[in-house]
Amino acid sequence: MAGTVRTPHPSGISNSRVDKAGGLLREWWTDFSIEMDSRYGDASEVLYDFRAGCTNPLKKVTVGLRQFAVREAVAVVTEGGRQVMPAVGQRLKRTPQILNKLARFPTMRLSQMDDVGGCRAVMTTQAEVDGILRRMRKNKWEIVRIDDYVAEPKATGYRAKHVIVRRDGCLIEVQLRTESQHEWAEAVDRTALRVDDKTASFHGLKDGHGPPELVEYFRLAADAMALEEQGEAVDDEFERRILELQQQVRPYLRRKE
Amino acid sequence: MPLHHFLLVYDLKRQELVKQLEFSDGDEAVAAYSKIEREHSEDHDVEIVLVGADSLETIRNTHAHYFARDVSREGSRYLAGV
Repeated sequence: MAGTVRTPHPSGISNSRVDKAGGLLREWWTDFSIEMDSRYGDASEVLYDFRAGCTNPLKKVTVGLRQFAVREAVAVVTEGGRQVMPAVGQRLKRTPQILNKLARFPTMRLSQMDDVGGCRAVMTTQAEVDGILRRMRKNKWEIVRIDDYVAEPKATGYRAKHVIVRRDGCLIEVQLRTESQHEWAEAVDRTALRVDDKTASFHGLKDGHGPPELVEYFRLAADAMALEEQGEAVDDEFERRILELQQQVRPYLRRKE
Repeated sequence: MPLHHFLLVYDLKRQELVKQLEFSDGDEAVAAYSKIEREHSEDHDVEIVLVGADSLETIRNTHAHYFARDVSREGSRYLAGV
């Protein structure tokens, strides 16, 4: 908002210094002829410190998200007498992922990257997910943006609601997923770790890079899972096509011996 | 909720977790994260990540792909074998 003074980033590093470091690292990451020297080494240290600054704000957001998730979970099922709570976890973005993102978006400023700190909640239903969103608003969380990949799935088939919030001068991404959406996303990540083809494991299958038939298989599987989650039928022709692709991509899914 | 931090090192060639360190202090965890990333900055055969939750059990769900697949969980038939 114009005229408001923002809380500085908890790392204590100015945005201009962070952005300068980000620019240098983008250069180094994308130009293979550049050798790592002290300039790039110093820039890496700025990046590490900037990321470390997200530690406490991220923790606060994760703890708050978990409270909302537990309250929102209408049906707390018990498995063998044990309460099963909605799962809430966090991560600090990996440096190679930060650099890949800077490379993918040549005008992006590192200080404005909104998912260096991220957390996610996995809920049983879409209604519970939307309940969390309501609780965020009611509790006056500073919501910067909502990316609704349920209404508009990514081209890869990815579905979830991503809420970018600002906490203590830090941008944090909150991913809200149903179990079905999460199962799919984890399956893609799991496959990316396995796939031999460097384009998939290195740049990320989840961004749609990889063997085309594998990308297509996951996209259709996501559509079918979303239909089933909404209680809609998957027609026979569509189902046949997915199962056919599933056979085709089997070599990519097999564990290396 | 006490938050536990887990520093995971996944070996892409061996296709398994080769290191798993636990921290209760967030600052210590993030210092270890930077240190290990620095040591592996030219190594493309590992994936290093710092995650956190109330327990490792939760991480096995929220970041399941780093762990051996839980075959007891029944998933969608569209993802069978993935």
